Amino acid sequence: MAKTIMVIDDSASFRSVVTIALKGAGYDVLEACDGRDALAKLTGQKIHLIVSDVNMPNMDGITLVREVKKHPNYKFTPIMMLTTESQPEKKQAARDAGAKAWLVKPFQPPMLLDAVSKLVLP
Amino acid sequence: MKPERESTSADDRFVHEGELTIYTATETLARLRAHLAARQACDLDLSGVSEMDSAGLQLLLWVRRVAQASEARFRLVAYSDAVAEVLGLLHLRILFGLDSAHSAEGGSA
Amino acid sequence: MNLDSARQAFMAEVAELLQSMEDALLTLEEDPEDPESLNEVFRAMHTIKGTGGVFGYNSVVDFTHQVETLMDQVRSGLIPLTGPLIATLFECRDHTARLVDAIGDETGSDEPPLDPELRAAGEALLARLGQPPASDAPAGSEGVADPKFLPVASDLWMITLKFHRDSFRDGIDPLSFLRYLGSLGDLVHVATLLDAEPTADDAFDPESCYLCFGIAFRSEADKPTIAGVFEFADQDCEIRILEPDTAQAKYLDLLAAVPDEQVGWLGDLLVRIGALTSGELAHALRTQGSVLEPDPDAAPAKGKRRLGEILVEQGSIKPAVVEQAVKTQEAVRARRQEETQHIRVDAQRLGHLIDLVGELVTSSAAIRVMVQRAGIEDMSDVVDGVDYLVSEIRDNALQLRMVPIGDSLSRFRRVVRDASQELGKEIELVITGGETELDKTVVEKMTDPLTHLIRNSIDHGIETPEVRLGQGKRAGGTVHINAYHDSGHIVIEIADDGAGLDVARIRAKAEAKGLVKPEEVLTQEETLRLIFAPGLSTKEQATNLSGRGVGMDVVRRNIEALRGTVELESQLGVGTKVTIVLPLTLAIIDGFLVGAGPDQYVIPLAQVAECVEMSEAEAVKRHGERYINLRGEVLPFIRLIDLFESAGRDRAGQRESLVVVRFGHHKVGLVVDTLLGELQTVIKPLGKLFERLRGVAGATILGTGDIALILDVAELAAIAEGGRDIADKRRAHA
Repeated sequence: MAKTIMVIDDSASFRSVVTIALKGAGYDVLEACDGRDALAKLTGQKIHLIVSDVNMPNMDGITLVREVKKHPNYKFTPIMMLTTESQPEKKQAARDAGAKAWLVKPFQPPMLLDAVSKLVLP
Repeated sequence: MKPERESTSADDRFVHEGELTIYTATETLARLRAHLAARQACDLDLSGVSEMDSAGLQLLLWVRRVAQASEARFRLVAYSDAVAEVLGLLHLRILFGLDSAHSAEGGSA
Repeated sequence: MNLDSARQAFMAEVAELLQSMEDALLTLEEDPEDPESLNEVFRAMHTIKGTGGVFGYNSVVDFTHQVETLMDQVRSGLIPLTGPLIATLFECRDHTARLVDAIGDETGSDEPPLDPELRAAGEALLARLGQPPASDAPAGSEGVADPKFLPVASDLWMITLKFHRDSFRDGIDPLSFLRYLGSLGDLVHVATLLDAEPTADDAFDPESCYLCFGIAFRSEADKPTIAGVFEFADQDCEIRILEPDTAQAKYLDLLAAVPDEQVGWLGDLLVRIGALTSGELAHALRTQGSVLEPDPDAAPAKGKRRLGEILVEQGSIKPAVVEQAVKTQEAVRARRQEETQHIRVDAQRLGHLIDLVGELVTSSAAIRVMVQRAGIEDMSDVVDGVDYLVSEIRDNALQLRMVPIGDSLSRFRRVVRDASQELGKEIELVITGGETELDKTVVEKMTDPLTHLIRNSIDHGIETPEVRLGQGKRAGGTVHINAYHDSGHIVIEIADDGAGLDVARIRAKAEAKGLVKPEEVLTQEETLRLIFAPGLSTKEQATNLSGRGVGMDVVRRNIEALRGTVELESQLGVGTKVTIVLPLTLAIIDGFLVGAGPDQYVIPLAQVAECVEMSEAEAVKRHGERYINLRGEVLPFIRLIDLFESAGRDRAGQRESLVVVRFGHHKVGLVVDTLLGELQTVIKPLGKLFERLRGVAGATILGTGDIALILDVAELAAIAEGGRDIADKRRAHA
């Protein structure tokens, strides 16, 4: 049974590259364009990993992490944050909020797949 | 999935279906405790388990240990591929009798 | 929380397993065929063996393996379970308990040697079981037949993971790391332990994580890669990764080859060679209670524990690797101690100083000339004194730029190591004469040519172990670099005991490339020199390292640009030796001034063997045109006047002198008109215009303001010996 990953980023092109890479590796992918959209789409289906950007409109990644950690169906779901080198304080904030894995933008799809597969194999 | 031994009564059977994960661990443990409080045997049927994670595995190890401490019988009598994959990964097939099940039960059946 | 609790969890589990084994044996006494109980005994031994192996408890593994094997046979009906056998199995159970107890007190990471009495007892028991004694059964090799056996062989990584209570809540699923680990290699055995009190069922929280894993892992991956698997767990897990003995040997090699300038802090050093991950280092530093001090020489404060100790204790590294690292560090520290008496000087400043000293040499020569012309007697003594001081200053200034060649040669250890691994060859690099000094600027310019020559030796020279053994050679080849001083030059030899150069093939290649005409007759030496011609490579197959046919000509040009020469000796099947001869310095030399015709020439003094009168006396007897007999030794000679086509004039009756110069093994006579004495000379490079002028290394300005050519003895030797064409040309001119 394929594992499902939710990808959250406000850039549609970024999402589609990530989605293609993940689907190519055998994952199911659910996309959301920001934190609010993501929460709206978390409706009880099984999600094995959440990959989220930090800076997004409507609801940023750190707030999303806090919300997910309160959500009965998703509070134990691993969350990987996509940060940039210039945001060490964001990284710490997300870590405090409960995100556990990191990937620094920019990255190539193979790096993403490698990082993701440490948490969830397809 | 396997023919059961004569001593097994339907009442000893504990069936769990769906996820055996962190999300169901608390509830499953409560059910197992209740099951073992009422009888001295647990024949675990996990053939309907769709997914098992570390928390699920830990639960099995724990209950197995508790059952043994109270001299209750604890056996895995049926399991799904998801369960077999985890037990195989951790080299726990023998501990849960997955490999010996054939010779042990095949002989008496 | 520390990893000892994992060990304790193991002890508790063993006690539990042995208890159920005892219960099962009791049942079997009643009913020897009860399958459940047979399984239980087997399972107990199997699990103790597997988990013990992960902790490295070989004595436990060796013993329980034998019992497990027996129980497997009993279970499958091959061996009947008799009363006496059951009695022996009880004793085996007790013996296992004693073996585990013997370990129980130890907190070190290594297993203590097994008490001989205990060993003997175990062997006696096994003998009664009909199993071979564990010590005689190095099952690592024989255990192949039994896939269930866990080899405690040295090629296994030992990985211990102890997850924190909150791991599940943080979204960490330890299984996913193990699955990923499985993609890097083979999980030979996994021991899963629960770090929880078995009696406290009420206290057990299913959302907390009590899992500890011990993993025996076989993989080609390096330590940083393996540690990288757990990068997302580093905050949620205590991770201990112990490299296999095979990797340890690799670390020891690497430590021996670390260049001095990269040896700093112990921790950095270990991380650099990959023996330690930065996470492990950070953890040890926190334990040590020291802040991250960038200063590598910061002495540990009193009372602070040594980092190496902590690293071994936390199980990040084996003691032998730490010991070697400390040794490397101490050796460098000792060398640094010597260096503390030194001052670092900008190389440019030094270069400027040497330039100025060169000008001073010229000026002082000018003064001497003027004083002589003016005939001021009183000044002569003063000028002598100044001359002496100037020459001392010159020598000292040049000495400042002298460095031992060994420093730059040691980097080739790594080149040889990497290249030989890549090519699957066994190659040892031997460096002798590393203390030989030469000018730093020369050293720098020699790095590329030397690298190329060494790679050639590795790539084309040394054969693969199979080929070597087939030829009756040792499997491992040797590349020997040797350096020494010889008459004002430094000689660098690069010798290998490899295949040698195939003269016939070089000839064929050269003809194919049109470098040689088929009818030309060449000596072996001349043929060998062809490999210095552009575009000639003898290896059929180009490799990554060399062999694209560029190279040897570049090597030669680089060396000649330093006024050096390169020679080649090779014997097919025996080896190749390349000899490079370089001047010690580029700037100033002691010269011997001679006059020939209207011009003056400088011969490097270090290369002057002797001067004799070139009269028609008996001592010198001519052999044809180009050879003379000097006290029985036949020498080629050159008339400088002929060579440089000095203005023709009548030389009849002129007394000539013969200056015998030597270069390596060669001796050549130079016929000159006058001997003008020694002088210090600053070499000025000749312009592009004179680049093609053979036999001249440069020019210098004399005290009189005249210009003298500095002779290149190496080239003159070549001209005299092989340069028939030049002599012929001269004759044609005449």
